Amino acid sequence: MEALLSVESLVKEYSSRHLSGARMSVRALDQVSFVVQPGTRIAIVGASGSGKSTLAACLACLEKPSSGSICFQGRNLEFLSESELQNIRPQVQLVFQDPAMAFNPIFTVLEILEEPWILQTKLNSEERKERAAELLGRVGLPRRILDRKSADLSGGQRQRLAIARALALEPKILILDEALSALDYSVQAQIANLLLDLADPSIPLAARPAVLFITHDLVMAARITDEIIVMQSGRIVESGPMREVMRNPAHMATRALIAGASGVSSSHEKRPAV
Amino acid sequence: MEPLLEVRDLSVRYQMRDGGEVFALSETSLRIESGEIVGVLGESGSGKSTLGASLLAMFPRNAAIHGGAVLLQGKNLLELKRNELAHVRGSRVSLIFQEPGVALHPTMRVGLQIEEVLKAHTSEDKAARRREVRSLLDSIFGTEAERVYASYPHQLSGGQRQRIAIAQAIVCKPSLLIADEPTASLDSVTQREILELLKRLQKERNLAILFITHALELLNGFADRVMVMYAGEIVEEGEAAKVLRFPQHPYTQALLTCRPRLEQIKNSPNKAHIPVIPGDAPDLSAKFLGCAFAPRCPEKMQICSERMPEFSNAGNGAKVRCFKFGG
Repeated sequence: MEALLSVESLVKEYSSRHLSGARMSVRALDQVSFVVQPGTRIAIVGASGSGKSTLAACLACLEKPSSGSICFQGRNLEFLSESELQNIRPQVQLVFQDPAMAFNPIFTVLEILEEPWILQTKLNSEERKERAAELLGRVGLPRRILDRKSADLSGGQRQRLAIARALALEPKILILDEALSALDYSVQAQIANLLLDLADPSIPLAARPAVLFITHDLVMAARITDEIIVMQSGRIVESGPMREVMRNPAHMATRALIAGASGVSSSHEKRPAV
Repeated sequence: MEPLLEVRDLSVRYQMRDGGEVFALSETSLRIESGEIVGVLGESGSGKSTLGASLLAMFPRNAAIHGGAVLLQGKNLLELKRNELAHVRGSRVSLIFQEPGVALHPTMRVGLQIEEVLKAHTSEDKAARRREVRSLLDSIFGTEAERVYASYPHQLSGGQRQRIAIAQAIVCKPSLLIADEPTASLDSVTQREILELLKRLQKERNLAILFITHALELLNGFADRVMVMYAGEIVEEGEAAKVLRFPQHPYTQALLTCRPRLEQIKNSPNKAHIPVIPGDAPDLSAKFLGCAFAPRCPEKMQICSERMPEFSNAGNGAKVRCFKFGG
């Protein structure tokens, strides 16, 4: 089976200018390699500054890697033209921590959902409205909110809307970058269940997006994904099946995350400054 | 014995622009003894931040106080004049927030920002202030203290910035620290480090801490006592170990089960749904006739929608506002 996404020796450096005028460069991603098979659920976990969000931005074609390659269905993104990238971007959807920032505040829910269809499909307005209502149903939102503005929705409703919009173009990969972290636990549970439903193995592979769940919340990650990638200082330090890694963590960073999530102190271990 | 701080039947409403009101706190009472860590557990809109800010008589402009008192060693903060309050804030009761980056001045070295607090509240000279801040930073940052002292906020990590905010809050040796979601923007490893620091300050300085959070797992092994809030009311209150292990109020029980636990995940397949609390978050624009949780409660009875239950003693030694236990 062809890998959906394969990342090979990915490096991303940011350069900035210090007040003194000296150039500084920060290596946010360092030789990152992994493969995503269709329909799989992978957690990417790590402490702040470990490079998780940079990785998400590179995968969603929002940032250009400094070196290394990202292949989507066998095609290296680096060598694609802008118009070819336009065809790939809809298939890789990104949901952020704060969905309020992602929506145009003067748009109604319907306008938010139908925008990608206006750009990418030939659906007429009746069809778009019908599909928008269907999509809301899939994420557990009532049809009556179609005419509301996103600012009138609660945090949990907005995050469901963000997921609905990400699903609008039937992506192959759904990347969630701390998408649950700002929500109350009772709302997190509802949206986690939604993600479990979307990635239910009983759904045919073609209709089921792969999920990359990027978070520092190891507990929720362990609950809703099958594989884990642990990052530290821009590198992958451990990866494997979730349950195995949870039982026998090999790397100190993984153990520190497990300890933090279990409420055990791990202050004897000093993390490198980033 | 007189408690360090006591809130009596405090009700706070917010006036909204459309003319409506939000009932943020409804006749809430609480006591904090000196040197005690009290955890306030609640979700968005439960009134936990309003409660925390009320301990400093710090209300937004659209807040209206509908009765109640906030007594700091017997003195009602709600009746103090502005300059009297300014003396209390920062020197006897102080506050830290979720995002310390916002509270710090971006172009001033953090060490000097801590000294500013001493300047405002004491008559110490510059050299004495510096000595005091340096020794405080030594105890918090160890060998890094000197570098941190001279740093600007953007040169520090989120965890370090939160420690600076804590240093600012305790430099005048207050007896109570209000910590409103101080670890919510930090990763789990840094969260633990901040909790350890707070615990150490409690022990070394006999500092009382009101720790406001939605993250229930942080309270385990950290708080002495826990109060659970729902819709502007305290619904359960008791020893932390008992409330978190044997919750009695149906809301506390539901809240605890919707957060997965790592131990369960390690040992069993988990592809089934996570339990959720059915229904929507409470609408605070109207006063509830009965228990605010009743519409979502699996054990709802006739009386629950008729009046709010009083506190009753429950099996876990906690006080619970639920008709299951009397009321």
